Amino acid sequence: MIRVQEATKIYRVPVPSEGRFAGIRNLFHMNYTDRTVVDHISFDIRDGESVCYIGPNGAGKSTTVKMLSGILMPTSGSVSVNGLDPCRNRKENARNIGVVFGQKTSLWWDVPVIDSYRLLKEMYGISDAAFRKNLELFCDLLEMESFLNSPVRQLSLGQRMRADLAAALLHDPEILFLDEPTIGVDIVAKARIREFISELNSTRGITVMVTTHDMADMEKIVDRVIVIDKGKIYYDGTVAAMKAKYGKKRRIDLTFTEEDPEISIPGLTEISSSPFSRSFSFHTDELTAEQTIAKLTALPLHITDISVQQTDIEEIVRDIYLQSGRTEK
Amino acid sequence: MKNKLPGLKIYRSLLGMSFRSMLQYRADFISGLLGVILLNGANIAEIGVLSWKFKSIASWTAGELMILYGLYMVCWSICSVFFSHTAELENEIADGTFDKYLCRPLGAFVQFIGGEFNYVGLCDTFLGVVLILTGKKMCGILWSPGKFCLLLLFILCGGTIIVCIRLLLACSAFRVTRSGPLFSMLMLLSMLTQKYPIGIFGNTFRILVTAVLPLAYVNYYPAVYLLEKSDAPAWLCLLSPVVALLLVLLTAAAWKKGMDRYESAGG
Repeated sequence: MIRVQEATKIYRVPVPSEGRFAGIRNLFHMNYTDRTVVDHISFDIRDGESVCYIGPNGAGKSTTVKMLSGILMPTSGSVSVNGLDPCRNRKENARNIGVVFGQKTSLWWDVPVIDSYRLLKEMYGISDAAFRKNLELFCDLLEMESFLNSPVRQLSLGQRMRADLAAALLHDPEILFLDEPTIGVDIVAKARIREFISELNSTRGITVMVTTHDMADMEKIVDRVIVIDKGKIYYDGTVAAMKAKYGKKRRIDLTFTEEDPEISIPGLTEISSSPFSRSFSFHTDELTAEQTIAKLTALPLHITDISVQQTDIEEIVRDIYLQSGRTEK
Repeated sequence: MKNKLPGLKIYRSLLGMSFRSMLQYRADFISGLLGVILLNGANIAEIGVLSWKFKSIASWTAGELMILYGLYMVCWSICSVFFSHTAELENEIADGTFDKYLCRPLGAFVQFIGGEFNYVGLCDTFLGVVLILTGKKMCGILWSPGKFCLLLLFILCGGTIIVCIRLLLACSAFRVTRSGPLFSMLMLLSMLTQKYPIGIFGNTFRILVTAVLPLAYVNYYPAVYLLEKSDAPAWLCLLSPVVALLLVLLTAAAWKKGMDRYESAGG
């Protein structure tokens, strides 16, 4: 059970002075400005739930994960993981959680993967039986046999990510935090990582919290999504409910035999056009698909093809970001 | 006690891991070895030339200067072998590598310091011991078992003092995220204290390396006492364990404070 209540993180960003002996002067005196990265957020995650935490760069995703894993202390508000304060009970909390930061490895760079695992076994005090059982399972599910004896520096990014994922799970944590686990990874490895996470979530009941930019991660792995931007939560609910609430935009594509016909129907917004085809978007609150098609076919046009599509998840999320007042970077 | 022992065991395993990592880079090992030999060779030659030309420096004979430098080298090697990783703290904080230590059920300090086992530093130990023995022979002195034990204590304290000074400087990275310039400054200072009797640099310098950055307690004061020089009163020289202990306490406090205010990179 994860509980986040009004958690806020304000970074004090140093503004270093410049000029002579700046390094030494900065040691004694430094100016700071405050930057609010996470701004009064609250949510609960139940045991066994899988939640996706999405947002653009700098939205506050990693900071939230760091607060939950005991790396950062919230400036105000509270977080608790399985009833523990992650910062005050850091070592105890570390036994309950597994953490993967996709951007950097937690393995030892120059020695074979298996050596890192053995050291982790010692660090966490994992029993021989549990270690063997987990290693076997992860090797099988993540297809790691081929590189288990290679030094980490020789692994591809996809292999390294799988190795890191297994490393975070060797001690049977109840909760898994993944910070961008598929970033930069190829499609095949991505699919394997997603499958693995879903599998563990459903068979072992591990609580999973994933931060990602990848919308496919969200649709494949989780059932609940939290959208964060500029440190605030803009959506928290199931993927299906999000589609129902925000996915009211439709896209309609037409192909016809006339060249450049005049088409103007209130409620239809042109997205793209070429001499013999046109694409529009419309909102289901204003026009139903039936009405739209009826109006279009009433025009003096020979329509050879017509298709209506629901907006994809990526567009929905973009709309949520836009509502939060941010234009895309 | 129950909590300390697993830490030591993990420390050993971490050193083993670091050792195996270093073995992966043989060219590094060989160039490191060459570097140590060249650097120390040059320093010893310098002492040789100076004391040959001037017979002695501020009444310190060549043999005594060798003991002075040998003491520094042995103390430094303790730091070099086991605490090389200290200077990496700023980088680990800046790039967020430090985060991973906090996700594990162990103290961050053990994990950080266990990140490097610089066995090349053992060359320094060896050369230092050779220098002390040669200097001892040149001076024709005999040390009683009691004095010999005192020598070992001085070395232990001297090593602790270097380690603590470097850790203290490294801890500034928790505050300003960059500690590189401070390490350069320390290096410049210790280039003077390691091979010259500090008396030649005047009183301001003496106060600086006695009371501010107590580098003089690494080799100068111990050498003054062991060689029965009249440079400083005996009680000042024998303060070495007190200085070491104070520094350990200060370093522990600085580390704890640094950890409290640690804010990792990125958002």
